[in-house]
Amino acid sequence: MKILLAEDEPVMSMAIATRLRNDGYEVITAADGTEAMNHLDNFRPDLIITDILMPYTSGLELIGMLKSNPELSKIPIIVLSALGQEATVMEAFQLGADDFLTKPLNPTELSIRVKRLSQADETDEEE
Amino acid sequence: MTLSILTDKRILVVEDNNINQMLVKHTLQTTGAVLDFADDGLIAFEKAKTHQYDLILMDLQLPEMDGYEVTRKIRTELKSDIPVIAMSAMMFLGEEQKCDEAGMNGYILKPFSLESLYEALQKVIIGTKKEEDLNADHIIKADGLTLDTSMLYNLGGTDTSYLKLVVQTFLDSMSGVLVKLKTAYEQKDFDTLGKTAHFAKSSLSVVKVQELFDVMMDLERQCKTRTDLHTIGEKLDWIYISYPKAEKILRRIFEIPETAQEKVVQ
Repeated sequence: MKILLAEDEPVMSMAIATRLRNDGYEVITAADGTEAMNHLDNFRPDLIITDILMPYTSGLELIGMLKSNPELSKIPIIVLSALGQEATVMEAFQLGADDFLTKPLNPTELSIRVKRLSQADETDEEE
Repeated sequence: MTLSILTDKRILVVEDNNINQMLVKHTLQTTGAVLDFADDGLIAFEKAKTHQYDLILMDLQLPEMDGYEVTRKIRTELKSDIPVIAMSAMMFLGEEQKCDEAGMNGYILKPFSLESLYEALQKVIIGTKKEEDLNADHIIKADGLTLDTSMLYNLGGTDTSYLKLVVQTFLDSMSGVLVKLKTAYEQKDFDTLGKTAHFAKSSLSVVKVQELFDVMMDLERQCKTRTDLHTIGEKLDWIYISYPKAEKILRRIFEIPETAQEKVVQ
């Protein structure tokens, strides 16, 4: 399974990407929403994990762009939020995000939620 | 008892109200617990039947089957002694006894704080390791600072080259953060200062120097709410004194030498 991770903070990005690669996923990272969209020209992920606060193009703007593109709108999205961002998380859900994780991350929860979404995606394909 | 007692513990939260579910998630998110949710009593019972949990937080008023009935069935049909703590907006006279008779281990009032949860957990033994054992592996205390490497190892395993790379990235990132904090403060640009503290907090949640993490969280909050701005200078002074100590400890533990360029900059 291929994952696109959009996270501007390099330590967090590296830590999440490594965990997901250890779980067996192929991961491409982007430091902001614009870079994430650029990757999508050549890389079609099965899941997108995005931070909310990022420079240039925020996580919410990224979700909006994805959902308005028929070729990309069905890719499931997990948002990464920080404490106190509940309102923004709700906004992300309204825009079409599928799940969220709150920082500081629980690595086991990250793995479980990614696995759940990947299994749900496989079931959709079978149907 | 500290936060680490719930790290990696699987908790089933049985709560039919979506907002309350979010509040619980928010409250527990720093504990490292893995949360699962059920929004009615029937689903809760099915999940308890098929999944392994370390703790159940049980609302009392639930659709399909109330919290008392779910707990009774867990005790009698599943023969499980999993700790169950009741969550209730208020405890009427006799309610505590009712919880006890149903087989619950304690109760907390909603919305609950971590402190009240831990008080309730005092009656319940979770896991086999003692608290000092849980903490011992990844906590290093030195020079007035507390370094917690558990997240680092949990996310990346024990690959030494990976760990060194993450810590080096952290050190590179933080040197930029310190400059940005100083400049933003001098310019009284509290928006940038707050965003930089938020950014640093993210790094510090992976390479966790507890005291630095806490002060960045404070700075972020202060800049966002524009409160106690007169204390920001002191906090920054503390950071400029304490961060080099943290850096020294990290370089020593992970055997990362200073480069010639880094020595010149200092």
